[in-house]
Amino acid sequence: MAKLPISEDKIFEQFGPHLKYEPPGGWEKSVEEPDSKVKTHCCFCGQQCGIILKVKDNQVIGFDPWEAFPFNKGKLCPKGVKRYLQGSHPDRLLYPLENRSGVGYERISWDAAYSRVVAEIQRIQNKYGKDHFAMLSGVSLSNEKSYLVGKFARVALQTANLDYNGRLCMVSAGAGNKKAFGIDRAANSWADLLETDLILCAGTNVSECAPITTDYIWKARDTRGAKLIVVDPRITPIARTADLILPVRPGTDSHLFNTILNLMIQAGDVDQQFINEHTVGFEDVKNAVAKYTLDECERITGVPVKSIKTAAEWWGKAKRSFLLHARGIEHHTKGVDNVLSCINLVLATGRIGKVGCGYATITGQGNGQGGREHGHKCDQLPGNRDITNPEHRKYISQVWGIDEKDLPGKGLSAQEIMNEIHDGKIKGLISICFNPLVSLPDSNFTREALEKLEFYAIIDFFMSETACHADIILPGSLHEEDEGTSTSAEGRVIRIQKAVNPPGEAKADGEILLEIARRLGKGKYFDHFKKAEDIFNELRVASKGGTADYFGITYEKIDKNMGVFWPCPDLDHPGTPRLFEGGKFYHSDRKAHFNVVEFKPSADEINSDYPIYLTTGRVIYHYLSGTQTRRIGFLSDQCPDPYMEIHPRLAEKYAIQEGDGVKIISRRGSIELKAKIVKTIRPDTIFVPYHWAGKQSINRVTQRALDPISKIPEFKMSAVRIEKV
Amino acid sequence: MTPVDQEENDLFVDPQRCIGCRACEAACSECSTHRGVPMIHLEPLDPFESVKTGPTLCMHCDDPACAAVCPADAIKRTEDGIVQSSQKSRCIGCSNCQIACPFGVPKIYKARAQMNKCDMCYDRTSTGLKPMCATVCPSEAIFFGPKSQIESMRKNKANNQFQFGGQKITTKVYVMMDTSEETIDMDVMDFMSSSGLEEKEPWA
Amino acid sequence: MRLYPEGILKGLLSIAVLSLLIVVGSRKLIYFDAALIPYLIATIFAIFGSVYRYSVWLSRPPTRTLWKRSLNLIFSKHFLSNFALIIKAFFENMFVQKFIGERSRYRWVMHFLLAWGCVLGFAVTFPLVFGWLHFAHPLKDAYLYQLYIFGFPTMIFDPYGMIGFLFFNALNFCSMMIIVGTVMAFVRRLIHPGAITTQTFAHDILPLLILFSVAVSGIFLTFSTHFLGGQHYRILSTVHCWTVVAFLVYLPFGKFFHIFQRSAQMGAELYIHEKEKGEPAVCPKTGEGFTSQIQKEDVKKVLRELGFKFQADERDVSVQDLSPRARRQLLMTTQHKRLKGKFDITRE
Repeated sequence: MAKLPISEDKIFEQFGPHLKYEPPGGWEKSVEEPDSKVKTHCCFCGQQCGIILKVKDNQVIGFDPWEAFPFNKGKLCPKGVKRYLQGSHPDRLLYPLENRSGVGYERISWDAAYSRVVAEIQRIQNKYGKDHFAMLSGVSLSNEKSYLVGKFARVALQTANLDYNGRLCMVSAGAGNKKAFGIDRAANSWADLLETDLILCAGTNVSECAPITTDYIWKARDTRGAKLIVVDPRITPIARTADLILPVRPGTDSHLFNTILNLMIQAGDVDQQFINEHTVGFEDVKNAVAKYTLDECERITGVPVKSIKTAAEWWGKAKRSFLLHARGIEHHTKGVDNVLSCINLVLATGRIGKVGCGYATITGQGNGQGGREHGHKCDQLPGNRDITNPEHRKYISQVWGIDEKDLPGKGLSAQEIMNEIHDGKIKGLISICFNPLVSLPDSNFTREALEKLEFYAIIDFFMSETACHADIILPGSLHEEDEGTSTSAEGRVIRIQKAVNPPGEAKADGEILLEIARRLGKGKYFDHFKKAEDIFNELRVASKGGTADYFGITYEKIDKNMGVFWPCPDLDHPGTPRLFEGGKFYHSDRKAHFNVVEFKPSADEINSDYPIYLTTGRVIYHYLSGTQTRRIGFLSDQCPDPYMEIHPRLAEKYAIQEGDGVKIISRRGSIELKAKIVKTIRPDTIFVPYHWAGKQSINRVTQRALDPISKIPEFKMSAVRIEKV
Repeated sequence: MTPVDQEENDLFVDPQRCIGCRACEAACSECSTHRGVPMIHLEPLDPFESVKTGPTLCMHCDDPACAAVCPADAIKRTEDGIVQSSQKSRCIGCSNCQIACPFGVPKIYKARAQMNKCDMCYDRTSTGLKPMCATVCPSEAIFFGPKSQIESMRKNKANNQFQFGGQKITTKVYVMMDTSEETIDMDVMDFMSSSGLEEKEPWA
Repeated sequence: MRLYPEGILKGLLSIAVLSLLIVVGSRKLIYFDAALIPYLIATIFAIFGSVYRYSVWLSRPPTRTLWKRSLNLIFSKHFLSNFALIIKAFFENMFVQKFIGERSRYRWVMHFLLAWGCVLGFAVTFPLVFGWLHFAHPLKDAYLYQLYIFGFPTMIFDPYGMIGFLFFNALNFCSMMIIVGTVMAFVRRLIHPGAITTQTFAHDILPLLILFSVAVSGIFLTFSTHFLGGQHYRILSTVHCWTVVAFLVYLPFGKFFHIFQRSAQMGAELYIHEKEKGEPAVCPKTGEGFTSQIQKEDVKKVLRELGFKFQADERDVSVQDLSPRARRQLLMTTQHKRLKGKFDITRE
């Protein structure tokens, strides 16, 4: 089944996206004194800014800045300001729905919905085998929900095939971090940004995707005169005033970083003592980068020789430095390589684990950091444990009270699950907090896959484009409708406070999963979870002894300290804002590992048929697949539709003028949108933001090629041609 | 509180560090007095040339041209230097203030026959809070605090004197400039002839 | 405060005209009720004050310019359409007060009750005070009443019929409207944060208190007459008298003066019409038409009259020739140029 019951237009007419501008009850009501003010966090990115939600009559009616919260001190981006409009949104799903072909979605009882879901799970698993029913999850969920999803899939569904949308986000950085440092977390809290002299932002549009981080960078520039280098094919707002812009051609990042390292080694700008004492593998890297020359680098990356030299000199000579990177270098078939080539630059200077010296990937999703540590990654168990490691399996089995033999092994990654669905191998799917039809590459393929499912159940709060394909829709909860914790990009574990109850018959996500588990006959593994804190307490024990050790973190401690940085192995431990102090890393040899990276071309070949580089990304007004932000009037008005950024020289070649319709064609598919002519993008590259669905989805054009290690798709580089329409 | 803590807070604008996120507009629009409509402007300078943007809020002139040209006597300046939105009972929505204001601030609501503009969040500042835009601004392109504080934090200088032709305008709000010593020449003729934004492109 | 002789003259003149009308209208004071003398004195004061203030207001350059421009536009070749516009604007703005409804529905109801409560009240009380209206029994029937206007007999009506009920209770209806309106206004001033922060006692609370006390004391007079057999009537009538006097004294100088100032809105409508239909002022930077050429030149002239010197050169080009958007960009551009496009002044 899993086909749309009625036309897409009819579904959208009923379920939106509709735009909401005013607080519940209108502006008149928002003037009234709220019943309560709830200190919690924004749901819309990995920075997890503190925010106060104003509640009246079980509805969030507005916000107040939370100036006392140390990370953002009241600062917010427009998404944070307007997020409160989701709770009372007319598009909210208020009761369980069943897909009836030709009729639409019909309201059913929770009992009927649960019965159908459980019957289908059992039917498919009995007929085809346990792993033929998969689960997809997402890291906008709290740590508690993430942990619960992991346990639910392994213990209740008993499927190996659980993965999550962090696969489109953090996995290259995570894999690179584990290879180099033996731990997957930002090496520093953002406080070290304030103490640094040189900041290198690689493939991170900080100003739009992590706006509050701008303040940290600006402050370092103000108070210490810190220099800023930005590596990006576009002059983003953060790049506009940078001291040095390295406008790299999409997909050539590792060539640039290898060349810079080579120049530094030649100039003697490496910390040999640190390398000797705290790292292994430098000689291999040194030999490998020796062949990366300046002229070759300019030819490949499109960055002028002079700029590369300046970058090498600044990075080589800096006293303190901080390297930040994000999806720009990670969304590639060599995403892990790109990350490792960045880390090599950091390790060669020894500027890590010290005041003002650091490294971090900027987590994109709300709980991208915590989510991946505790559950729903196909190869991981809580506490960042390895699902293939017998010791780790034994420990978690014991915490969960199951036989180790019953614990499934490593499953497929998100894109691979979709591939197997398309192949007809995986027959059933349950998903939560994931909109793969918008966010996975090659969306025509994803649509075909979803239509082949025998049964698909989804837990969601809005009718996402993917939800339109579900057989059963279970109305779930928003961020502010449940208790929990989340872990910010800094590695700071914070509290998500419940502000309101889910509206209508909608239920907290955890409650839904627990009931399904019970009906699958696995109640005894879950029945002790009476509230979110019970789940957190089990998570603490499950993570104990793992690298992501939360054992010493309690709700009370978080509230008292405005967050606690993991690892925090015992109750007296203050938490660990800065990792690797004293050059101690998390591999068994306690050393950091250099990794040889050889530059490889991208999977999609640029040739005369497809001569243009396409790269995709976010805009500040939208979050991920836009399911939430495309429903908020103010945000949608600022950026209602996707567009194509193109340099005037390239535009001229195709006689394209501002606002003209253009067609972008790749080897997978095509999209039509309007041209925006700007001098702030490389003349060989075009950019399209990705937050839209259907005909507006740039992921009809992108490719499914994956990084061999992280299995992240290559969103940031596709070969395309364009036509004026 | 010691007297030092009671140094007067002022508002400082530094368009150069604006990232164009419109958090200021979003937050301003939440105010219960102007419900959904921001009083602050966020303007791209020239989207073709640059991603440069900048916020404009009322500069609160010492001798406000908007008030001077108001035929209905509807714009008042408080003793502490805040030029308030038009008095609702008087404002006739004629737009004279909008035409006179050298900074392009007043907003006119035709149907309501009313001018609205930034009053520096009088409801918040009068209870010791920062104006909303300055509270949320992620890049501190809008900053509210004592002048001594911003001067110790930043290299740029706070300036509140502007020369428009033969007219010098002194404002309550400061703009961060290269100097605080001289009056900033707002050269209209030069502005009309060039954008001053063309820069060398960074790619090979 | 400097006195404005022309205003005093106009004020005195209007008092003289009024006195003449009172004498004529009350048939040489035959129908003038001496008990209403305090009201009369206060009214004369109010009229003098209002005329004085109105002429001071009209002498201000922006108001004078608007006034002259309005006459100029009305008596132009577009007389018919502009006159029709004024009529329409008068109906929408003064009568229906549509623009207040656009500001807030609640405030429209509140203001409509207050405005029409007051206007109807004036329409009844002023002619009575001036002796312009009186009632008498028609010669042939001592049961019926006849209304005399300026001493001329007009309609005859049954005092216990519908018309009589409306006549004799007109002020009670006005009071009721005003009481509801003021209560609504008080509620708003108590809970609306925007109102709370900007309101002042003299400008926002005092006028409400005055209106409220006028209306309540008036209602009590009726109450006393009909239900208490005239008990406390004298005290009540004295109280009522003083509240009305307070109202009239406050009228020219306080918030109520906006009733007269509203007339300028007709001029604003003409400006708006000109902006939409007339020759546009086009911004040389952005190419936007942002107002009418006429209004832009008027404002520039007013600024010059007031001593502002915005002119950037001898050709009279000034920042006011730019659209508001371009002016916002001017500040940004100026900073950008002075910082040479860099983050701060110390960057190379």
